[in-house]
Amino acid sequence: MKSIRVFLVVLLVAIVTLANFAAAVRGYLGSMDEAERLFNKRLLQQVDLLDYLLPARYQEYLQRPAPEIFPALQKSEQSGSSPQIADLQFQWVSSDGKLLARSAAMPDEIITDLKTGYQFVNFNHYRWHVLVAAAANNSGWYLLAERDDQRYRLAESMILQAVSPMVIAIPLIGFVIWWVLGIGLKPITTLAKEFHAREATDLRPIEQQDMPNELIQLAQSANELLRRLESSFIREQRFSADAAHELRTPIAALNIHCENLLHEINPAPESAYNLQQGIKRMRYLVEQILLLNKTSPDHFMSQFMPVNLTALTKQVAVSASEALGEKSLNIEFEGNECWVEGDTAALETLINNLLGNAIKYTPPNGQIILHTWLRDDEVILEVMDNGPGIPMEQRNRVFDRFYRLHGDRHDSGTPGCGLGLSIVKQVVDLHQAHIRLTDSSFPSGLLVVVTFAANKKRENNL
Amino acid sequence: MVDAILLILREVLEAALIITMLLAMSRKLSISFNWIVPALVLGVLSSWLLAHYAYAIADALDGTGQEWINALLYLSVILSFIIIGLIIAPLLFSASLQEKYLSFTDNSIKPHKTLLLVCSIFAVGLSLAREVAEIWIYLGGFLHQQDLLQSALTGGAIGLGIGMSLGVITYYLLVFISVRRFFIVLFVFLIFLCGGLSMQIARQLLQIGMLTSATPLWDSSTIVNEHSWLGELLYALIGYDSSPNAIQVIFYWIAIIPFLVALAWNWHRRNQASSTTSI
Amino acid sequence: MRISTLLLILLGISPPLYAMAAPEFTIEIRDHLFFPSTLVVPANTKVKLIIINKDSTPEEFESYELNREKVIMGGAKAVIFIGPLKPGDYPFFGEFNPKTAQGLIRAQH
Repeated sequence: MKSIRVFLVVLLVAIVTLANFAAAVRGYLGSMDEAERLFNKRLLQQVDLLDYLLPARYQEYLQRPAPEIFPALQKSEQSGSSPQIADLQFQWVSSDGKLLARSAAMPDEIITDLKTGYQFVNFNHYRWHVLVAAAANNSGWYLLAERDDQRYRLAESMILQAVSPMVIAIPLIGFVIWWVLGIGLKPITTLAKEFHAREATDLRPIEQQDMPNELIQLAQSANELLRRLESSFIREQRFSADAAHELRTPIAALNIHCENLLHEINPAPESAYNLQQGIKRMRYLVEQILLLNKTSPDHFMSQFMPVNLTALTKQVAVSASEALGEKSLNIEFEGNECWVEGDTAALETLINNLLGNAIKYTPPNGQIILHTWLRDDEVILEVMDNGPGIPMEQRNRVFDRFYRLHGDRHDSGTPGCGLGLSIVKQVVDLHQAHIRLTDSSFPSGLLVVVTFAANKKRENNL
Repeated sequence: MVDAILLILREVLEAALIITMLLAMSRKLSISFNWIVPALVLGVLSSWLLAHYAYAIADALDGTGQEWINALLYLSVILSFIIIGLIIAPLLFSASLQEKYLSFTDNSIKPHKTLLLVCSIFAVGLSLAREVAEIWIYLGGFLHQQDLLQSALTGGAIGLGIGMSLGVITYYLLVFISVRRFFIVLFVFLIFLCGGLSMQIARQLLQIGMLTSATPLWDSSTIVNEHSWLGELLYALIGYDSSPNAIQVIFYWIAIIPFLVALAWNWHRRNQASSTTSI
Repeated sequence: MRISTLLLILLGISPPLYAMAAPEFTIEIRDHLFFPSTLVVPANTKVKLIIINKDSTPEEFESYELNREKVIMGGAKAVIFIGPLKPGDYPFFGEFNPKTAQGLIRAQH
């Protein structure tokens, strides 16, 4: 059952059709029987009529050598209002089987066995209903015939008037059922639409007023789920904040103690410097893990708003100037102002990580180019460097968590933990954007292309 | 009008049952219904051709063309159904009694999907061809008798409506039963249908004197008259014939032997499989 | 093996029977009526029935008792083999006009 509406419409129309047509057939058969009875009664009345008129002249007709032929009945067609009479024909036969008289369309021989009752006889190109009746004083037989096809058509034309509308009604009934079910099922469609249109972060309960009883149960269960989801979100957020604080504080303290140690012991032993390096890496790793947690789609809770991607990129580049200067890297920025719908902090992390990677891997005196530009209804952010690049076969894997290029043989000397691009990917997914790694236009190096949907509204306002 | 109802219902009911059964089969096997479109096109086109060339066909082969064509159509439909029957036979024993639909990815039908669909298209298309051709010829006769046309069309619409409604109701009944029960129903239906169709082939050959009939084996018209509503339904379902000839009965058995063999073989295989697993 | 034997019997035996000359009888259809409406044929003999449709509309010769069914187009003729029949009455009718087209085949010794 793919659609409730289709199922109900098809099945209901089928049942209605069946019931309706069965009734039509039943009515038809009943009416035809009734019509048959009426027509037979009419034949009997004709017999009575003949029996009034003819017996008086029995002896006279008996003497005649040939049967008398009565002319065809004049049909009163000119007086349009009276219905056309079906052809009624008769034969009058004496008790010893001699034909005494007949109507014009009858043959000269007696059409059937002289056996009282109704029967069918074919003559004169038609099939006839024949009534054989004995005359009152046993003075002979009357054979009355009526054309079966005329009788049948007359009866049927009346009954068809009643049956035809039942057939025509079926498409109408089908349409009405379709329409009514559409109205009846509207709350389901509305509910589905409401769920569909909701932001992932919108956990407000569903409005239950005006909702039909069948759906209230569903809405209540959904609301219960939403409530639990929201409290779990809040708990999670509080935990993350607490964990961040609880992790950062001891590391910061550790760092201060280490620096003090380096000042107090002179010359400081090698292991004290290693300790300082270790603390630095640990701080970096904790920051990255917290970021990864924060940007994970399951926990991401803040509302999107228009963000000026170009300004943000510039700001990130400026704040990285110290690191750029250390390696005497040359950075270029190009692009027109682009707006996207998103979360500023997450986007900042994204640009920061991409730029950080570029700085990390580009050799001293290298080149880094940042681009933001608008193409049709897409905003494209490009980060390009002339570092070693990423081999084709590893490009899919670099987004995996804790995956590091060349395994542990990492010679950049900068702290890294293999989470940077995972975070980038999460932020990209949060914004329903796409990311692509390709070769840069320098002889070597990497080009990262992130494609966002442009924020049209903002653009029009400008 | 009643004549038109009976005549059209008789033709439509059989086609509706065949279509219903095969559509329900698609549903149970999670195969798309798209195949019904070429099947209907094939049916309508070939029925129109049969009706249009009815004179030429009737005159062909010393006036036996109509019977030969009918026999050929019956034979093609029977062969299609036999192939379908052989493909689905394993499901009678393997399918679950609880599931309502079989997911297409994990059933044994998968390698035979194309064959199954081609056979379904032919079975439906060629069944329709013969039946709808008769309706075209019947209604075509009334085009010259305007006064009777309304009655014939009304009767035709009622016959069509009843036949299709029964088909729809059967379809939903079948959809709501379990996969295994459905395939048992389908298999039994195919057996009786093919048996009935093969009796029609015998009848066509008897009619043109290719085979000589002895006297009927029995006459059950006093119990169920073919002319009655029940008789018509049984005719559509199992090819009921109240006074069949020995040759018709022989044909019946030839047509259903493949089904019985498939049944026996799959039953045997299932038993073997279960005995090996129990060891 | 049983099937092939049966087929051989059927195929081998049929042609001589087909070639055997069967007595012919003619029935005409006029104005959706059969003429004659009662046809007497010999019992226990295979009979060739020629049905000529003189109407412009098609007709379907049908008989449950004879187990026959054949469409005859307007103005065309059709051949149907019936029998051998036991003595008795075998009604037939025109399925396209069953109200009027009614007839009877009477098998007699």
